[in-house]
Amino acid sequence: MNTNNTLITLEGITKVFYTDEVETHALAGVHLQVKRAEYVCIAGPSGCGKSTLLSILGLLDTPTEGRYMLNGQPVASLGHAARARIRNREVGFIFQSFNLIGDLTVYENVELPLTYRGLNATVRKQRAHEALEKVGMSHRMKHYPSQLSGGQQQRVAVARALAGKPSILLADEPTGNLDSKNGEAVMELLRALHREGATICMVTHDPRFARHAERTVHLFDGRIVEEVMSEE
Amino acid sequence: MNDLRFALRQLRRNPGFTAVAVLTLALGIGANTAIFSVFKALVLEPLPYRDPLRLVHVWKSDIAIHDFMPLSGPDYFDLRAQNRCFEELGAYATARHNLGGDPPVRVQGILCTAAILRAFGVQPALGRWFTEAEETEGTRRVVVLSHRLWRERYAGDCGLVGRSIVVNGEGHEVVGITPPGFQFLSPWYRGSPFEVWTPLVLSRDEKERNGCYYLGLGRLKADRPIRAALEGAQTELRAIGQRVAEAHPATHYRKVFWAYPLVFQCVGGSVLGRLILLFWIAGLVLLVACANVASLLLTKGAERQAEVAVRFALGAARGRIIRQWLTESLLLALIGGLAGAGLAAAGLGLLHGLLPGDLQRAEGIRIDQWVLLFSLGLSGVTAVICGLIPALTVSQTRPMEIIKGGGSSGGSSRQARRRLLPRLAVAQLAIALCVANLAILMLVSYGRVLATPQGFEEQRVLTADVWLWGDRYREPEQKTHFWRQLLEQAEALPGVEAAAVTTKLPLEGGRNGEILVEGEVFDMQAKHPLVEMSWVSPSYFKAMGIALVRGRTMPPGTGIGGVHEAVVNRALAERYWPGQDGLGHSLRPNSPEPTWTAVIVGVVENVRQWGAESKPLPEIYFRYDAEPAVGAKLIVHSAAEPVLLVPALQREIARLDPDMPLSDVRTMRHVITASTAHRKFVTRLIELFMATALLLALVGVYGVISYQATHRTREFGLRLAFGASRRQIHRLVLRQALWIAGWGTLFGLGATLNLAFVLRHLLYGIDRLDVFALALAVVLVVVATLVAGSVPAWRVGRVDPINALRYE
Ligand SMILES: Nc1ncnc2c1ncn2[C@@H]1O[C@H](COP(=O)(O)OP(=O)(O)OP(=O)(O)O)[C@@H](O)[C@H]1O
Ligand SMILES: [Mg+2]
Repeated sequence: MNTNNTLITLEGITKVFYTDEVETHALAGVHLQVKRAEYVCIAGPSGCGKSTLLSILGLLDTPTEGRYMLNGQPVASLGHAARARIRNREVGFIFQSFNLIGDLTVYENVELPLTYRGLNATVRKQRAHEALEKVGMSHRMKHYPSQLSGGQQQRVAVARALAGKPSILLADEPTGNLDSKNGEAVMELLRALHREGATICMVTHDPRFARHAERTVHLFDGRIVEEVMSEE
Repeated sequence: MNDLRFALRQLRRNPGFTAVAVLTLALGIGANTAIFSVFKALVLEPLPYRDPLRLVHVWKSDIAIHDFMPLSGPDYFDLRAQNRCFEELGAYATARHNLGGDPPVRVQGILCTAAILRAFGVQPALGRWFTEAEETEGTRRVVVLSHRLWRERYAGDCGLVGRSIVVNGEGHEVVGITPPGFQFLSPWYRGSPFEVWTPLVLSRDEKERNGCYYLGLGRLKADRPIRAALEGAQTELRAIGQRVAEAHPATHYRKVFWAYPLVFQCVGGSVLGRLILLFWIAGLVLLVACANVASLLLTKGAERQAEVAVRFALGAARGRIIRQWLTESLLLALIGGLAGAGLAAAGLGLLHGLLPGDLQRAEGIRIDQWVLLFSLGLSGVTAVICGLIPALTVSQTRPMEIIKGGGSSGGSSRQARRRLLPRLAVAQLAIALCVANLAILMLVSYGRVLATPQGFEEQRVLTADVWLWGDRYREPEQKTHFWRQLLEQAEALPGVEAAAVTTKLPLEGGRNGEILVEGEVFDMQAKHPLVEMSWVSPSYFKAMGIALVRGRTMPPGTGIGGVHEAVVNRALAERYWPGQDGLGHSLRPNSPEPTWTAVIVGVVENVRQWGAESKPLPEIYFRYDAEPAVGAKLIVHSAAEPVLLVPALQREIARLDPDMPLSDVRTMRHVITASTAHRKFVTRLIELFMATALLLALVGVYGVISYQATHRTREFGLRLAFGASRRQIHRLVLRQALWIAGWGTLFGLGATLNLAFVLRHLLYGIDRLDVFALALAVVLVVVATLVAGSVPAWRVGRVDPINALRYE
């Protein structure tokens, strides 16, 4: 495999949670590579470790063991501040429950990751507008999240993930809180982004949407048990 | 979107939260601002003199200790002739002056040598100060008036300078007007501002060597730095003192002179120590407010955990989140600070009403830009104190919690919160307990001071000042005659039971000296206790309601040729002749050539001489007409409400002398009130602080218990569903309140035992570790906690299990 084209390499990633003297092995030796511009779907039964894997990919959490290379850089054991910086520059998140900040307007939500990067106001404005344009929400910039429908909120969340021009988009059941029509619209949006060259890693239960991905990774009890390439 | 704008939006969107937090901080910061405004006006405000640090008072003192004895005329002349370190050196005394005119008034004045007014280094607004020639007997009579008196009584007439006005019954030429805002700061200030200055003519007569009534005031030469100049002055004054002592061993044995900077003596005055105590306690109130707001912010953090998790997921660094939260608390604190300054400004009237009357510069107390700056600075400190822990806690939110659908399910910050909230409540209670205990101790002390029998009648005794200045009263017989007439006329008034004259009132200090009793011989090395001295009419004891213990009062004609029949108080009789009646013994001054002797003919009950809280000292009462003084007090014992007699008394005085004003008309109750005004001021403020601290602690405990109870609603619902009784649920919540109360009491008691020392000089008739006061404080705090806890307990007790299970 051409290493230049590899965005993510996970080797022997394990994650153990210790709670009240009970050890939960959420991930038990995961090996995974994601190429640039690839669309990977992570599937599996509830509790198998999908979200845990995603949060390690997104540097929200650190693995107990294992190596993680992102963009050719080892990131498994970075400190708080360094992880925050990489998260800000390289990763865009889309969550099941949108997670827009209720006290910020649509525009301010999208602008937020750019603020943390210390970009100046003009650049922030331009990028946020671009991203909102892309998801078709620029006409709602001044609204607050509570004034939007679920589908609209998720589109804003996608715009927020895009605004920072990240290396990878991570989505955890992005349609889980949406009805099927809105769900499909959001999925269509992701697909379009992928066609424009975005790298996407998405957790979903829904086999219909899994088909959108080029590759589906099946997780069971913290291990990858099967990888399926899509026919499309 | 910057942090500040977001913070503003947060506050706007949570008006309830903002209002409670701002009000809480306003109370805490307002209390401190109010105290600071007093502190600033009395202490920090620069003195309106040139180079004020070079102004020093010159006192006489025992060689071993630094005490504050006034100077005599000959002392002054010796000091003036021998000193090299003073640019100006003068002496002054305070005296009430009668101003002629319609109506005649009596104002506080100063008799001073020419150097005194020059020493301040300010120029008169009009005219000039005194000249050296005017210090000498027989020259023109001149007067300097205060700017205020000139404006108000003489309508600011520029032609007044050079004209003559009647002062003390004689024409005086007005030579100068003080500049506006000029204040003559003096340790002898007694509550009424100095309005007139007349020249002081001092005697070089060695017989006056022991007549110590004058305060030295000088300006150190500017040829050296202040510290060196002061040290030089001390050395020089000591040397002069030793030379004087060698020349006059009988009066000056072991005495030296020394200088004490005017700033130390007059700035802040007697209230400085108390202000520091009040700062302490206001600081405690602010701490309670901080703990309160910290727990509000913590619970706010719980609500906003999802937001923080999102920010982390989007790449915010920890420092960034902390900064955002601190910005919010800073904004909150600044608004609180402004509101606090507003509260302080609103309370200023109350504060002025409570302030003791004898504080110079108190009229300068106000909320100006410096006080405002103080509030805002304090707000900054407050923001860190109450914002840091919530900010750190919320920054412990783990970013991955976001994945679990919003992050409300827990994490380390939630645990930290669960641990911290009850501790903050405990801290509030502990501090409130401390403040409550201090307040109770002060309150009991104040009550005991007021309840102490003073040994004289309070309600029905009226006193007024009368000063016999001028040619009409130059001879002793003229003064005696005036008084005999006035007392006769007063006693003839219906409703008057007795009238008398005295040179001083109980509680207000006065003259004293050392005495010898029979068997003692003069020895200049021996130290003798000071004995207080009053000159009174024989009717004084009846008029003042002082009980005659033994013997009789002074007969007429006594004191001729310095041979007195005198009355002493019980303290003197017991000091010298314990177990005997004391009658028939004789006394004389501690001097090689006694100028008088006195035989004791009566013993009266003690009254306190130096304030309502001091111990009664030995005292001798001489007959007034043996040595009639210029200034004296009329005492009238009334059968009914004494104030009703004032117009009649004024009429009687006018019949004797139409230019004679009756001034400082008070009942003895007022004299006691004035003497306890400092204590009242401190006590009332501490009470106010206690009420604030308890209220804040109550609100804080309520908030914490209510928060915890709400978060356990589901658990309570389950318990109910499984058959727990409402009483049991109730008890679960109250148990937490009791837990908080228990630890709060424990820590509060610990802190109280360590802090009680701050009151050591202020307690009266109560120990600083009084069990009753402690118990009462504990009861107050526990009751407050239970009140705070019972509302949430009652609320969860009413929870419907079905709804509770659906909750969350
Ligand atoms: N913070 C935690 N502490 C303890 N155990 C945890 C924690 N987070 C996850 N786990 C455990 O790790 C395992 C994997 O959890 P994860 O959330 O990754 O599952 P999932 O595949 O996303 O499930 P679902 O489809 O239900 O979202 C589970 O057994 C879970 O109980
Ligand atoms: Mg999951």
